[in-house]
Amino acid sequence: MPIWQFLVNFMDLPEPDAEEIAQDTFLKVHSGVRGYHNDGRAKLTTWIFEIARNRAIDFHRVSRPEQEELTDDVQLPKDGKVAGRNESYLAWLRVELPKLSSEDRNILLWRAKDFTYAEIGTWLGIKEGTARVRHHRAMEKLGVAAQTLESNPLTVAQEISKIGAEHE
Amino acid sequence: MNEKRLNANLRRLANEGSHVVDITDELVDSFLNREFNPPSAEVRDRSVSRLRIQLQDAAIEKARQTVGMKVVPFGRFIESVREKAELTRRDIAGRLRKHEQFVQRVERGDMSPIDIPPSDIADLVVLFQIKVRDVAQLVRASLEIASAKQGFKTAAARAHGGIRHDQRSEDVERAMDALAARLKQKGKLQKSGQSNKVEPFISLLEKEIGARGRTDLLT
Repeated sequence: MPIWQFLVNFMDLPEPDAEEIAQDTFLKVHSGVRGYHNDGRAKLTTWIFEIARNRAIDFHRVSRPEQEELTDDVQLPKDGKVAGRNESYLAWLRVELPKLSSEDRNILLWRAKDFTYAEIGTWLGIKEGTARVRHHRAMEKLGVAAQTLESNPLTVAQEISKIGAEHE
Repeated sequence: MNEKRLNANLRRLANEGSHVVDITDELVDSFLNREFNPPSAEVRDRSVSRLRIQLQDAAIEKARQTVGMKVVPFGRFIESVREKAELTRRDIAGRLRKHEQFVQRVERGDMSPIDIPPSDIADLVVLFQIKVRDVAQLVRASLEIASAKQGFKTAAARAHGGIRHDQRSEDVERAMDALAARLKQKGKLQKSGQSNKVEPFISLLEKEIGARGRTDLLT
């Protein structure tokens, strides 16, 4: 049941929901497998995992609690930390993450998803140690961003509100 | 920077699709090489069983679209959809929690639909997604054709060495149904003496289907 494990361990679904989404995934695979063409882009297993990921994303979007309204009194980053409620932190991250290079972003997301530096290094064709350094630097960039944002709180609050409005 | 908090929120953004993690062959291979605690046998069995049901339902739905609505005996209609869906009688029996022979007898018309408990017919109707107004037509056709078959059963038995109807082959039964259907088309069949039982039967069936919450089949 690798799909079920993927949904539980990688997509953070509760086990009973993972069961349902896994079945849904297989049903989608069953009905769409004739449309799958191995054009060298991805293996069949990868295609199946992509379906599972998309279904899990749909699930999270539907089941997540309402986003808290973003206001100007958002707690601002301090020493690389965003104080206050988690929604503020998330909003800040939504603003800052796209500013990183796609490689930095991927490294951060892969690490967040518990992939090892060795695995990340293999995918990027770099050494494990280099992957570790790049991850550290990507975090530093976010930390620097946090400090920059702190120096101009009004701009930050406005930017976060803008992003919040876009997400509504 | 608090890495733990960052990672938790990155995971949340990735889970919600705000920043989608690309699923690559390499990532999947890495994931498959990991050792996780396998789900319990109970979870596995439940998943397989639910998936089987969903696949059967999808196959029946597709078959229903292909077969369309034909005015044939109820059992023959069930049979044609089942065969189109590439399901066995055992599959259907499993869904109905009945013995395989029950499905066989329904399909062959050995049991008239109105002699079957409405709850059992309701299970079939829900499984095969047949609207009640169509069921009424199918049941009427069943009664008329069964009545016609009574007329030439003796002759059919003689033609097949006196073999009893429940032991004749499927092909012979189908041929007799087809002959009766042809006679019906030509208007050479008398109305079944049981036709007045159809309406009360359909009323009971509607109640059963309503109790299953499938009001969509009542329209």
